[in-house]
Amino acid sequence: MIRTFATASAAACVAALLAGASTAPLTAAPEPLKLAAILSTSGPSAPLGVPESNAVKLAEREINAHGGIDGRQIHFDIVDDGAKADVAAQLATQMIASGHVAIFCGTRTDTSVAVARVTGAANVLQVYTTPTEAVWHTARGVVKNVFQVNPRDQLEAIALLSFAKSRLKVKTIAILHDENLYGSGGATIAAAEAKAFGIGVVGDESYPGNATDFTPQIVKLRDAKPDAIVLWGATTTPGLAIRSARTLGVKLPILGSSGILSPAILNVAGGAAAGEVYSASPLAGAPSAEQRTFAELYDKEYHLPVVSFAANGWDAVQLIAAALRDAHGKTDGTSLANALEAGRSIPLADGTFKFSPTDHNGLVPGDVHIAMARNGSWGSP
Amino acid sequence: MLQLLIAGLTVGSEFALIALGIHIILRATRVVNFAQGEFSIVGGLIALTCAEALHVNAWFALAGATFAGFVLGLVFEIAVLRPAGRAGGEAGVTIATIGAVFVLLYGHALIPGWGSDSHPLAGFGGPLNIVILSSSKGVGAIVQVQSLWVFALLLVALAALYLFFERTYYGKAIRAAAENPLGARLVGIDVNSARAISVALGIALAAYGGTIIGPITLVGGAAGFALTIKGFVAAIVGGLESPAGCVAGGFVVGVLQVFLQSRMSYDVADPLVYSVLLLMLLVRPQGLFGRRDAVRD
Amino acid sequence: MNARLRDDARILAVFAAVVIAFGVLAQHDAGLSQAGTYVAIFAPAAIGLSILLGNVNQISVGQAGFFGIGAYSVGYLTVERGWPFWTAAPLGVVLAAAIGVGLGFVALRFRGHYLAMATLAFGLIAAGVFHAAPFLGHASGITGIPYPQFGPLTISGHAAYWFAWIVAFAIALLSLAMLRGRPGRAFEAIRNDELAAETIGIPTRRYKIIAFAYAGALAAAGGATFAAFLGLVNPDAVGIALSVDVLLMVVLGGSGLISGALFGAALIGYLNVVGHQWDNWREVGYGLLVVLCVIFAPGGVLGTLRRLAARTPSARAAAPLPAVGAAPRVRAPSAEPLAVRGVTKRFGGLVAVDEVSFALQPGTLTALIGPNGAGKTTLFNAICGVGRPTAGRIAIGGIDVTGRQPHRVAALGVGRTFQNARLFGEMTVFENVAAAAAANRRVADRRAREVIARLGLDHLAGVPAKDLAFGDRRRAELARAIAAEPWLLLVDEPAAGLNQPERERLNADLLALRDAGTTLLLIEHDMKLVMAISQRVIVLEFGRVIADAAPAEVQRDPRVVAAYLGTAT
Repeated sequence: MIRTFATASAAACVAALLAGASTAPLTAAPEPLKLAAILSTSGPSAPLGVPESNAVKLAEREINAHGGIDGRQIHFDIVDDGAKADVAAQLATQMIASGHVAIFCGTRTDTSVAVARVTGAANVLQVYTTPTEAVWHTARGVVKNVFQVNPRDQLEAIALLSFAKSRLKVKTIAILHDENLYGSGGATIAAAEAKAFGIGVVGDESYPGNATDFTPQIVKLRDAKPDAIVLWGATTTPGLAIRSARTLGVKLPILGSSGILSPAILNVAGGAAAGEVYSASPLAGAPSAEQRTFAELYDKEYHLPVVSFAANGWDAVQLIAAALRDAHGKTDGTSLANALEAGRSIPLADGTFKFSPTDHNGLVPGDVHIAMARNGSWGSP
Repeated sequence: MLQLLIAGLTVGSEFALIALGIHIILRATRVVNFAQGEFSIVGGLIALTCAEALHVNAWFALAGATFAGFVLGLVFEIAVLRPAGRAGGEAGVTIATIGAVFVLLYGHALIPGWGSDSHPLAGFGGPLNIVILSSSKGVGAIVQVQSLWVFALLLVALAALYLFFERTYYGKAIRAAAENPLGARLVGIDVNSARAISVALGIALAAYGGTIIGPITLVGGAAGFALTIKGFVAAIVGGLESPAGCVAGGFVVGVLQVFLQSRMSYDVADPLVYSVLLLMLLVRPQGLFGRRDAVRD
Repeated sequence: MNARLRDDARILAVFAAVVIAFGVLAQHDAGLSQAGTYVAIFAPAAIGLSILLGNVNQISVGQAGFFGIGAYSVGYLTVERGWPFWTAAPLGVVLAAAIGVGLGFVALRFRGHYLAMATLAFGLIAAGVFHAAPFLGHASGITGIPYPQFGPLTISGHAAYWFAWIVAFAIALLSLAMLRGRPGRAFEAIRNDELAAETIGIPTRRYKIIAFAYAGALAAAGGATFAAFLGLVNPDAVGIALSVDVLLMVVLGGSGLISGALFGAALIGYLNVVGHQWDNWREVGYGLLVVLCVIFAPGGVLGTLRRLAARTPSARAAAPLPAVGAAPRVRAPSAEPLAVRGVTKRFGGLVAVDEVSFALQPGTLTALIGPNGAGKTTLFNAICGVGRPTAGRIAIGGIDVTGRQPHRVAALGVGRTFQNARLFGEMTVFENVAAAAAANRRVADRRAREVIARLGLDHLAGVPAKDLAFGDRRRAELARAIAAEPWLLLVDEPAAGLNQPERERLNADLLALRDAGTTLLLIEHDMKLVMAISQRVIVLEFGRVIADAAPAEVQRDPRVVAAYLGTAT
């Protein structure tokens, strides 16, 4: 009986070893690190998701070309959630179940929040790129495993409003914003920051994402007689809003969030006819070394100008890489989060990130600069 | 006030064209085309491609887009609507048009150069000039030259369609075929062709509309379905079964939308516009200009 | 139970086995488990739409609105008010049902694309309300929705899979029971021919409203579970896109089949997650699938499979007409079976019925004749409640029924046939008759068997009505009209198109009914038949009664002759 048992166990061990040996590569090169990007590359958020996806592929290639992370290559699985929060959550669960150690999600706040529930329970690092800090900064405190790679709305608002107050001597503003989460959230924060700066808010109007006519909103804002208009939106629609305002004879300075910093928007806004338009963005102002490197790579690969979403995608990958490097082999969410919270300065396209246990955004108002539109292109004010 | 009115009329022109296209297709197929707005978007994009790739001016681009719309409409009727109607009746055709929404909305993003973004389209009268209208009281309103082009081209389209349907033999034959297919067949009218041409005209009108409004609103993007819905509202308000009603309804809804948005936030104004749709359906389903017996219950 | 429901139940049983097996195999694979959970979450909305679309033929593009009501109810009540899921969810469902009743009332007025637009408007208004209501979080919606707690157990992860599927199957079984019962039969009759359904006593409006409320409640149940498991709800998640997705599920899976809805939900759920790399191609694929489905597979995947597997319908033998059986005695009413007083019906400027008055005696057979356009069918319609008379009163069995709805007139004991036999095409002869016979299924089935035997339709009982030969259609419709043993029977041109043996058979049937005490009012053009079997003839011309006497007298009446043949010039 015991002999049979012993023989059987021995046979089992041998079999296991054989099986293990046969699947292990002979040269024992380490497996690539599996990472996931859950982005909205189809559907209404595609104009944001596609540049992000492009940048992720680029970043992955660059990192691998420079030796990967501690000798290990990285491999990003980029998947499309179609702007649906439940699909994103399912994809996250799948990715984690199949061994992906960090997740970049995502393009929208609702998908990011839905995925945060999954990554939190599974203790996996998550990086997201919307300017709403509420994903990591909830009523119950800081969410340990979630980091934000976009400058928070607060930073852009502070940059815009301090510029407005000091350089343009603005005393009152009116806010025009997209009715979606990005626009509404930004508008609320801008209003709060305005109060902190002692700037009065005399109007607040919203427009739908696919709006083509802004006459009622602009007429209302114009009648409130502000010193400047704060515009919070993204994709090409804000460009139409600017054009509409100028056409209706509103010559006030327009202060936009980072969403409007793109040559395409100025084109839509009417080129030189766009008048006095500013934008607060990390990509504004003289490009940093990191930004230059990224812009060159992006242009060479895609022949497209860098938009903020692309920069976000690049930074997300770089941050995940930085965390993995600093964690020295550990891949669980807590270790990676600790690595980031340690506070090493990480210079990237959106600024120099310096996280802490209470700050998972890592950027300061100084990372956001003001750009001014002049003759149809963006430059320094 | 005047400014809002002009804005409402400009926005309304787009709705009017969509509503009229829906009407034409409805007359021919007894079904509302849920994909009308998508065809408008695609039409605008085709005009963009004509203008940029083929380096033609805005007028040729408009003609190109309209022609492409006509061809697309023929294909749509023959390959999709007709077999769907044979297999599934009116409900089947309605569902097929919803399927078409998916194909067009996501499909157009796959075409290189189009993508999911919106693109600017060159206008007709050169760059977007500004014209200032002042009334005697000195209260002014600003009208874009492009808006004037939209109104003018809208009238051209209406006139052309009117002449076609009312004055030409073929147009009258198409109307007969729509009204009484059996009777039309008996007098030698090819009902199938008539229906295909009607749908083709409806889609061509959508493409035409998407192009003439393009300089103002940009072309491309995901706004197609919202546009279709506003077109529905316009058609119901004005009278789904009446071509003049559809056009009038477009303007009414455009002006209504702009005025509501000037009184309250967009949040609240939008559901109100849809409530108007529901209200009209309940109170006066034949629309402001439709006849009572037009609504078959 | 009819064949479709039987197949549906069988497929559901198979589905249940698959779900259980999947649940066991996937318990350690969080990804598969969660995907399965989401299928169960969207399934109820699909089931509701499948019933609306497939069983009652009401197209609704507003299911997302109800889904949202359920989701936001749970979201708001659990996060802002601290309610547990177990009270928040039912409240959401009840709220959705109430609003569904409202939408049902609205939907009564429309058909086809108008109905689609009305439901679309509802969905858009609901989304707008979710976005605009200050306490619902505007664009951000409500986040941080907790998992349901069952005592010490948090229902998340794989427990959520079992929970969601238990709910989904409970709903499926409830729906199946409903379709087997009275509502289901009523739905089927309504879907086939709404007017005919009314005239056999089915309150069509009530059932349509019930269908909308039910579909809404189901969608809300799905929405409630959705909110609890996703953890958040916002206007985007419950917008028009979801309504269209649900329609997609039902069309692809098979509308009218509960298992079709489940299959469709599973298919779309699977494709959404498996196709995550196809981006826009995936959605284009859905669109193409829908179009192909409509053209080549109108019953969806499951419907088509079912059709392919079904046996060919039994051949319609031209059997000889057996002898007429005796009809059961009918309980005569205390008052006149039918009294028409000064009834006038105007359509705009046209007077179709002009001051018509007469009263019928119990157990008599009266013929109503007149040239085409004399107003005979219009008078029938007025009597039955199809259209209110412009003036005058109608009393049936002493009760004033002027302007009452057809199903209420029918419920008093009135049966009716139509000029063009309005049978429920997709239902068998037996089902047609049983639908009218009684509310209780056992009684209905028994009566249906008797009536079918009596009218010699045994050999056709299992044939779908649309496959019947012309003469058989009329007889089947007559069978349906008398299934509930009415004491007043209105028969509209029953002899039209019948051959000689069939006419003789018809005579015999009508006389047998009269002899059993039924009062009959007959519209007919066949003079031989009229003279042969009627005791009294009423002649209408241009809506007015020009003669009302025994057949022989009427035949000789010069005014009647003139009305039919014109006066000699």
